[in-house]
Amino acid sequence: MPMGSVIEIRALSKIYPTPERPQGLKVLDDITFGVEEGEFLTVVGPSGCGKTTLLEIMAGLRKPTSGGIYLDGRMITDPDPAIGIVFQEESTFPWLTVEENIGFGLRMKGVGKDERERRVQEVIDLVELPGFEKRYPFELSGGMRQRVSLARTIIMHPRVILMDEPFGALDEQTRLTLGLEILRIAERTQSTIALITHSINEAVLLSDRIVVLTRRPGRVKSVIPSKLAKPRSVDTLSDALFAKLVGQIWKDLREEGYRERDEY
Amino acid sequence: MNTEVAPLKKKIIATQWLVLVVAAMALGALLHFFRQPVLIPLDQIVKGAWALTVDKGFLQAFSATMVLILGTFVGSTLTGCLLGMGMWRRKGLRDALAPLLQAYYALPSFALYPVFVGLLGMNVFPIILTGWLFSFPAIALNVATGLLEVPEVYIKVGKSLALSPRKLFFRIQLPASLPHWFTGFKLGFCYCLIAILASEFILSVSGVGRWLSDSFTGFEFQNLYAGIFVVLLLAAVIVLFLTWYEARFYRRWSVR
Amino acid sequence: MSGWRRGMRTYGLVVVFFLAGWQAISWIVPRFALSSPWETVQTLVYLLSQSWFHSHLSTTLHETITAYIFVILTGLTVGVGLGLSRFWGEVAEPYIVSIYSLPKVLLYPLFLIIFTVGAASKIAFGWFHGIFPLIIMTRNTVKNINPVYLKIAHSLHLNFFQMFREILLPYALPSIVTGLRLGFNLTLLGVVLGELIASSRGLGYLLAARAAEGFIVEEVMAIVLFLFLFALAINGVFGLWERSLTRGERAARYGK
Repeated sequence: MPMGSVIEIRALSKIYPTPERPQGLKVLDDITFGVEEGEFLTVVGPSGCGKTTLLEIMAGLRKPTSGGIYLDGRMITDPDPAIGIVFQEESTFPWLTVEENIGFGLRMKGVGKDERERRVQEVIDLVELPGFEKRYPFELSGGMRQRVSLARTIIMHPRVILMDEPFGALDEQTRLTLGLEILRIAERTQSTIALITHSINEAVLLSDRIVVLTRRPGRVKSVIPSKLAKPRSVDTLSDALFAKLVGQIWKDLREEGYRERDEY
Repeated sequence: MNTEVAPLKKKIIATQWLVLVVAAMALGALLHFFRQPVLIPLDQIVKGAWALTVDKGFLQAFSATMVLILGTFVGSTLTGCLLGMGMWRRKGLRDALAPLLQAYYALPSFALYPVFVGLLGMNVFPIILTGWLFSFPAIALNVATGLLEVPEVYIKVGKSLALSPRKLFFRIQLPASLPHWFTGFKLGFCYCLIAILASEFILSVSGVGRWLSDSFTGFEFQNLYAGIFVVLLLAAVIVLFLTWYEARFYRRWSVR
Repeated sequence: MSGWRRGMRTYGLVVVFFLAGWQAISWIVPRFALSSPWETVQTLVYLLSQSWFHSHLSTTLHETITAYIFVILTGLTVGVGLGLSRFWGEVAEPYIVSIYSLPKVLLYPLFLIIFTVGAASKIAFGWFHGIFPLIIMTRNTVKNINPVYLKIAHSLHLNFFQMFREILLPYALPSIVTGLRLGFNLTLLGVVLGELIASSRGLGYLLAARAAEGFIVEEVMAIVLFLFLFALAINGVFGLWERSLTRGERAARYGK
């Protein structure tokens, strides 16, 4: 196992029981890779390849059928404060203000009011939402709400932040802008990030390494390092290496064929 | 959400007031035209209504009814919430009761009146029973629906923060479903109001219903109309207020 | 179709449960207060053979059907109108909501005064109850029609009736049928309630009469049972109609 791995996924498989087949539906098959300290990793793959399931298992919200998740060498089966997760869907609580949303985790842990306020203010500046503390989520745009969700996770200082297609519902420009912002935040806080997306462009633009998953049952097709120059920006999109990497990933995915495999 | 919409809204409200005025004038004209000893002109009704607000007999009957409604409503709320949460937790209970509760409001339950009177006597108890029976299913159904429809992702957030089941319920599931709870309470209160006022009127044993029924049989038509006017006006105001508040609630809570 | 079978099974269990409870209560309670399920059925069979019962039954049916026809005609027209016109729909909304939520029975004296104690007051009262759910459901579905459909109608140069028949009606029919069902329930309720309070004919009158003079409990309960079964049957027919209309939607949702 590579040194400096925060999280390791070893031989992980997930089979869902189904009434139609006795052997169940295999969504993940023998997944093995690690997320290194301080890196920005992206898992990319077609829809239905089990990416969300993988992320939820990593967050301790689901249990694998075989194999396991190891945090600093220790196996985890339940949600751990060291692992934060930002979901694909709208997850800001509409009945709380922005600052109450962000401070929610801290409040549940019993952190005092003053310290909470201080840390909330820090994070609000970090995700660039100053002035919106007392607003309610319904007054914010989709992109801003995702930033609130991100802030809510960052404030807990997790070792690694998992993100499940956080730009799902947003338009192209917001996606790019938000993505680069998250990259910037990650670098400033020296966080470790594992992001799931179906967008190859996004994967190549933002990450240090890209894990390519096949169609269901999801398998690790390849792990591709991305040596694009930092800091990444919109200009990176025109880099020659960018196109090369995108092409490489496309090739890998195309090799898998267009239909889901029926083997189990 | 500003300069375009506001004039339209104003126009709607203005028209609503206009309709009210026109209807009142039409009603007044109608009553004036069909001048009979039993029909009273509109201005007299309003005057009578005003007088009732200081009439001791009426106020007594009215407060008795309000106490009954509120008391029965509290009982309905407790049983309704309990049943609703039970239905939320246990799928078996849900499957068994949901179709029943939905068919419930289709059946002429008021027809059970004579049965209740036979069982409980010609007093306030059949009224309480009817009020309770009419209102608690609506509360139960809405509480159950509200809790069941809490978006999965909120629960995942709670679990990822390792919240205990108790915290998960009070900090996430309860606030997330609150609009539905409110709808349930609103419906429950309205049904309770309707059932109790109707029962009181039909059975004529106590409260405002009896006061109105006595006026009718005693041919005191000004009292009758004035009383109906006051009661209906108050009920309408309460209902409209609750509906308005409910709409505000949902607007804030619904982000999606 | 295991879900359907399971639903029938729980439904059956609930009915059995209810009958058992009824039987148990009839054993505990003194004889004059409640009759057992079997006695009630027997009495009902007896009543159905009596010509005087037939005449009361036909009175109620006649009043209900007449009222219901008016409900359909006025309810659909107003509902569609309020649905198509956003402005008038919003103007009317608070009025409709508040009147719907009021104890309309309090206005019954007015009906008696205007229509006198005869079939007409019951028909009018039943109509007054039944139009509201129909108007509300019709308006809600019509106003939520995807504006694209209307644009298609416009681009195909359809006149109003063609648009109504080919596009609006098929789209709105499932909700309208639900509104028709609810409208029927409330019309029946209004008619029987009117008969209960002040009449000399009809099932409602029978209920009140049998309850007042000497409280012949088996007959009271038999009539109640009849009303329940009747309402259940009519609701069942409407339910089948509703299901057959949404069969395509449900297949699309679950069939995949």
